[in-house]
Amino acid sequence: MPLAKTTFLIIAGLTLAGCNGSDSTEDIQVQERSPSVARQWNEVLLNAIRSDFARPTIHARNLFHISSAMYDAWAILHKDATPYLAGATVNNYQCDVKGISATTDIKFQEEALSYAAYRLIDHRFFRSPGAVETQTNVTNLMMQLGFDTTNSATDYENGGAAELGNYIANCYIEYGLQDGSNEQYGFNNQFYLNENDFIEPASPGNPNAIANNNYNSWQPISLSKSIDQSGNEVENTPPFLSPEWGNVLPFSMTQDSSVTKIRNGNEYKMYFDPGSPPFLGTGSSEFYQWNFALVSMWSSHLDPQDGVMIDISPKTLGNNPALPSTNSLAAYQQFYALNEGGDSSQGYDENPITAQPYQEQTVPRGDYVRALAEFWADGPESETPPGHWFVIMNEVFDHPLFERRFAGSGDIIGPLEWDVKAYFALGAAMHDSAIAAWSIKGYYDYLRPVSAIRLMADLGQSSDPAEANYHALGIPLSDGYIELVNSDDPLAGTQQENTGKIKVKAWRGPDYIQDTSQDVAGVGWILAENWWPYQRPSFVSPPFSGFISGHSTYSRAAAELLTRFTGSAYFPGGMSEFTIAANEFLVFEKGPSVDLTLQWATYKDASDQCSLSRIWGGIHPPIDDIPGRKIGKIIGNNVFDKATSYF
Amino acid sequence: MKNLKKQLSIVFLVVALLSCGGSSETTPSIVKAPSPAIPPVSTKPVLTFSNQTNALNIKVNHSNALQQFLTEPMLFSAGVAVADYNNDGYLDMYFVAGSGGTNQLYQNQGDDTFIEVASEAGIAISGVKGSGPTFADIDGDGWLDLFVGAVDDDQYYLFQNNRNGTFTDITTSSGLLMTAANSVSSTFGDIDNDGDIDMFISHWGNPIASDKSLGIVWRNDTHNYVIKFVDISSELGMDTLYQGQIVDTSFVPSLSDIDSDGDIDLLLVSDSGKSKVLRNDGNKLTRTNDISVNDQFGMGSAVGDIDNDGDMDWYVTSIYAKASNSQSSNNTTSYNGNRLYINDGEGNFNNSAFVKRLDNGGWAWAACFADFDNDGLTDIFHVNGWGQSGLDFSQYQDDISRFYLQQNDGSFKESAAEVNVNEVKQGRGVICNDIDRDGDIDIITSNNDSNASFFRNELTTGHHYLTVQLQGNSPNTQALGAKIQVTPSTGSVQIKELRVDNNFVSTNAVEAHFGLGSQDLPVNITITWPNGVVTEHSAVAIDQLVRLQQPKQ
Repeated sequence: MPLAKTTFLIIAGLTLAGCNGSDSTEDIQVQERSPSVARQWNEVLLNAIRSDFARPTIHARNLFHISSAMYDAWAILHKDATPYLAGATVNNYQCDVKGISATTDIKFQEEALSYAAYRLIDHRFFRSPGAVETQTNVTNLMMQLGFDTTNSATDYENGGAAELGNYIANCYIEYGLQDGSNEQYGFNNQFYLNENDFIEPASPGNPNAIANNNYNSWQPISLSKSIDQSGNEVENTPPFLSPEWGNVLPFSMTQDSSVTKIRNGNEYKMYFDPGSPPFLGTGSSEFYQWNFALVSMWSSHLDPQDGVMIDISPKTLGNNPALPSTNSLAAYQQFYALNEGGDSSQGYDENPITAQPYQEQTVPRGDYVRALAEFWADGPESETPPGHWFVIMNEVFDHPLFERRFAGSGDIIGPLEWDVKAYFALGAAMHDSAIAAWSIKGYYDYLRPVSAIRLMADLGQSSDPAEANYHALGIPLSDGYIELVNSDDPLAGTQQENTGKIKVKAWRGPDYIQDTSQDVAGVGWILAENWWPYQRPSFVSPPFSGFISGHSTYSRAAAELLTRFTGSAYFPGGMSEFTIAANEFLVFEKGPSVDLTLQWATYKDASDQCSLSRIWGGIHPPIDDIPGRKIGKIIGNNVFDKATSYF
Repeated sequence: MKNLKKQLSIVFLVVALLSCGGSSETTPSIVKAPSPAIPPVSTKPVLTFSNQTNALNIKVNHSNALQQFLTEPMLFSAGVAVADYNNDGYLDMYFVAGSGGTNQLYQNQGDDTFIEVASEAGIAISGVKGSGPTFADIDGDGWLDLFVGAVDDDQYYLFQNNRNGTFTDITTSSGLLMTAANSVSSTFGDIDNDGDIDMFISHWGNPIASDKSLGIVWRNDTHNYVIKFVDISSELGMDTLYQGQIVDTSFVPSLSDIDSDGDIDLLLVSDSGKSKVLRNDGNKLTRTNDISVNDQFGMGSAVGDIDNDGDMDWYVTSIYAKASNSQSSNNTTSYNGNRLYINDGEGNFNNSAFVKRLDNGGWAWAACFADFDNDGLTDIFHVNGWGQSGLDFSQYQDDISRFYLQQNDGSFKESAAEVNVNEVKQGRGVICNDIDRDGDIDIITSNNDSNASFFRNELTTGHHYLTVQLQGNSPNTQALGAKIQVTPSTGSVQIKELRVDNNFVSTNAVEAHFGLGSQDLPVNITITWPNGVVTEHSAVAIDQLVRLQQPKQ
């Protein structure tokens, strides 16, 4: 490998001089090009995702296929690597490639890779709302790299690297048309129907679920009417995104880890079945009530003015002990801190890289949890959770202390080889995570906290039969967090219309925010029927069921993969940081009130904090979180093993 | 190490030279240097259209008096047909004007002017919700007869050509006794291989009942120029075609020999319930079990060999998702648009509309295949639009017509605005024919509750063409079902079928137009006539209209 590096310096000059007679020196350092061409395409792809609809399943697939196509274009020209799809048969799809021999010339690999990425990104995003911007970005990068976008030929046997790249892209396009995603018909659902009608958060309670007598099924969220790009007022009740994603062809997962279940006469293929979540009205009611009451209680932590200060450095946060071994109330009670928030983090005595203790960083809890919730929101205009882990991985690779040694040992690998392999592996992990998590989401069809908290409150309180408004399936009372409205309560109303209802101490919701750059909704007592998650009112909760958490699955899978790939559980230097500027970072409302820095010692710590952020953000209870982490752990390791078998 | 380095650099030097186009020698594997980012010099003729509606004095204003009680057929009907009804060699135009107007016949004077002669011709139908006119030589006398459909139980008409520029209404004596309220689109072809052409009519909205014929296929039993039709839909085994539906949802019948076995098969574009492929096996039309034919709301139809591989492909227009607006809460997120069914050579189809980016045509209606820029590649034009302010689906009111220009690599470039056919109307019918006989394909649109439009093709010089008309032996004087193969000295072989192409309520003139690109030498033509006889015509001069005669039996 080091040999090829020096060789190319001469060749590039010759090629250019031979063709147009100009003497060019700019390409001389091509082998050492850093960031690599793969990285440049990855950045273009992440931007394309940011300007598309926030569809984490679809973008996990995009990230995998485009990364894999780049890897293939590189690997098929490399003597020591095996491509994934190019020249192979994957899941019964054959991508025949004949007569290609390896080259040590990185320029050809770059060219093939660029055409593959260009064609595939162009195809995958041609109907994106950001299509014009994405088309401009991909065309500009091709021009910058000196490649002709009008060459769409795939006849690589009579052509060259460009044609090979186009051919590989075409294989991925064709593979994608038969991979179960229903791409060519808009990824539309083919049989899923929601069992509960919508919930409209702007109106009190959850009348549709109550009327339907169904306390466990997902509900579409009816958002306030919004204005679309053409200036039209549009109805906005997004359908369930990807409930049939279990049918999509995976990378590492096999029949051994899947089961096929029938719900409403439709088959759902499910990977790593974690068993049922707790259902209200069954033997697991108490666990259900605890889970969703916890989400409401943690919402009370979103107050920067409550005087609670916590250390958010790795000295205190991170280094979780084992996850709850069973999905039971007792095991979860032990793992999560119901009242003060957070998990069983033990923190670290010292940074193992520097052998120094981590510096304490004490900040208002209300600032930390809000920043955390927004940092990991990964909603509209983001690169979505699978893309977020590509951003994190790129930052790791950019760290001055980071060395490109596979699994932490051996020779340093060139930037292009390193990036194509890393993207391939991480893309595969994200894709499998999406398939596994959404296969479970689709089958169990489990409701979000906004549905559960409101419907429990609509039923009543389940703590004291002697008290007002008792219902065994109601919300459990908890002093200081969830209480009954008494007649002398300010919430009782002028006609005492709210007396006997449930109130919760929680983030007060979008009604208290006129200007997100100036206003803070704050935490206070509100009627539980008006409970909102800490999200934008135009989003409320992602348009798919909660069980299991996609964030937990993606993040843990990525963390495991990064650990194996880099050979270290720790971020370079023993810690990664993300700086949050006071009164600038938050977009749901004004804040945070102080500067703070999100810090993680290990990839797993970052993943764990991501998981918790979803509880504070009001969109997942613990029962969504833990199975996601467990499945992510399996996927991350399986994908690493399988991906590296190609290297 | 040093030696190897030198060796490698030599190899790549060779590569660099090759990439500059210096040698035809091919070396294995990937040995081409990165392509320079220099765009090729364009020598292509420029394609644009000019709207000549006013200049040609075309004053058709379709109206179904929509201020009254509205029905869906009132909103989807309209129509136009182009044909040389008076055998003067020029293509004439007949428009349906709806219940609020009078149908019009524009007689082509051959000098880029038209005279409206519907009354003189005896086909000035007035105050009728007409739909889908179609010309065909039903009685085999060499003169085109005319069928005009209708909706909402309004009167349909069959006119026999009097061979003197006038027609006689023979509806009641013809045996065409259609019970369906709507006769939307029609076409003709010899389904039973008895030599005469039979009739096919779609009846969207016709209630399904047991023991009731669909009335879609009518056998031509004409003798001695006395036109007679008999409904043979049941005989052909079509009674269960729409089983499980409340109504027949057929919109367009298209006829093509999709399995290249020498007889015509029926492609029945159908709204909700998927379009139907019916193979002709001699005495039955048997529906294929082709799950790839999966359009949701088939509306328009275009048939032809779009990929130049020798078999007939099929474009079915439908509806593509569009965000609803404040006037209409109708959710269309699951509507996935047009289909381009690519034929595998044996009559099995695979949809490639998504990959080719031909699926999002709005609320699409009539479509046609034609080589508008004469480059030898088939392009697609279709109209669209639906809904009225305050009514359902009004988000489709401002749909823009689509013009998909096929590129050399088989992809399509949507160019409606670029070529000036980006019409925003309630487009229903489309005609694609070289009406001014200047060697390129013009476009006519027929629009519901609006004026018709005439877009003249202003293609600049540089590409060549050949238009072929066939004169068949009576009774199939139009040689419907014939196959025409054009073999240029360079470039692809092209095959076209002669059909009465109904695009949705609109029928093209029966002729085959071949774009030949920059190749300027005479071509060879092979005709497979409807009776199976093959004739060869070598070194036929191009850039002209040729008429070829079927050998007498």
